[in-house]
Amino acid sequence: MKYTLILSALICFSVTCTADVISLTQEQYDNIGTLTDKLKEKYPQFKGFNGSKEKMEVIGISGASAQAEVSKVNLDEEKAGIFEYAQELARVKKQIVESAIQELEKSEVIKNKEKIIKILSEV
Amino acid sequence: MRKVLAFILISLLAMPLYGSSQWTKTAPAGGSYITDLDANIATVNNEALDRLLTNYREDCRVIPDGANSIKVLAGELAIPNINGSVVRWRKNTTVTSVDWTNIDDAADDDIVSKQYYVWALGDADAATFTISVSLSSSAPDSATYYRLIGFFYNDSFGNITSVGSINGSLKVEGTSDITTTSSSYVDMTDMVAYFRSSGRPLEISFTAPMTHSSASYNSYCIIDIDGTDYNFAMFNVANAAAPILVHIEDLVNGLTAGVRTIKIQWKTTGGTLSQEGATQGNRVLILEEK
Repeated sequence: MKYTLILSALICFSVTCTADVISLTQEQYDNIGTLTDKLKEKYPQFKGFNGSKEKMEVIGISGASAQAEVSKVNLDEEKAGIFEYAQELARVKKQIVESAIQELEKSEVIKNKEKIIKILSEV
Repeated sequence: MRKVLAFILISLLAMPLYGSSQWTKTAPAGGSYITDLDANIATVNNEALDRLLTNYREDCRVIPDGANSIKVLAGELAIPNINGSVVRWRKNTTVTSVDWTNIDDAADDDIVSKQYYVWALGDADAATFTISVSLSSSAPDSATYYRLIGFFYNDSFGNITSVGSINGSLKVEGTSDITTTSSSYVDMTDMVAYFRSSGRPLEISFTAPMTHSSASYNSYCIIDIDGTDYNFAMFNVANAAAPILVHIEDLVNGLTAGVRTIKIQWKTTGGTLSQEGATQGNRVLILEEK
């Protein structure tokens, strides 16, 4: 029993202490957050990246699995997705400001109404 | 009976008051008997002097000098034989360059991922000391008079790193751009030092400019010695474009003498934590024994 425990501890130790290393392109390195999110989706045991572009440690999964998944990610598509999301956010923000201005214009009790509308228009 | 007591009293007064040898400025005196010289000089004064001077060292610091060599600064030091019965005092007036030609055993030349020790030797009949590099932490090969003055680590690429002096200081520096997205502590690239502790208090100082992809997440850096955590810093980078200077200090007492592995580790609760040594400033770990 004692030896089994020691062996288990040694195995755990070796698993947590060794991490495979892969290399990334500059574009992949610059978008490592996106790659991390993608890998976490596919591999829940993936804990993240650590290191430099040339020697990037992969924590929680094998380097081969990480390299294969990283190669599949189309960063242009991911970036386009983020751009669309940003555009949508800007549209929603514009709508909120416009409706706030409309409500203010209708109100007859708010003081300095013109001043507030001017500030909102500049947002 | 009275005479006997008086004799005993006088005898007691004439005996030394100390159990061990003490430095006695007035001995030997001009009127001392020649038969007392051995006791006065060799046993009393030299023993007392040796107690202070056997570990004497002034400068003789070991400093880095590129990937394949080190330097030993000028200075003076006492170099004993194995039992300390003879101590040779030596002095170098110029800086000594040391490389792999100074290895004590050719078979140990430039082995990667190994801790090496730097020894001062006093075997030659000269006023100066020479330098030997050895894998042994207890004694270099083929030497009678030797003293450990420094150490270094030969890393997995065969580059000399973690160069330090005994009872001295050591610096490691990271210059590359690195990131982590890990939510558990991982080793920061190039921030590991192999420090030969003498058991004295050790001051540790880490400094690095860092950025983060988002202000929504907290980040952490921590000092790790042989797997045990010491002081840490939690920080939040409010502006992803502007780095903040992360600094951790600690004074660690009670380290066991010997080589200690001292690391900086880091993690973030989300997003990407970066240390861009090449563009925003290097990360630096400094160790100094007090």
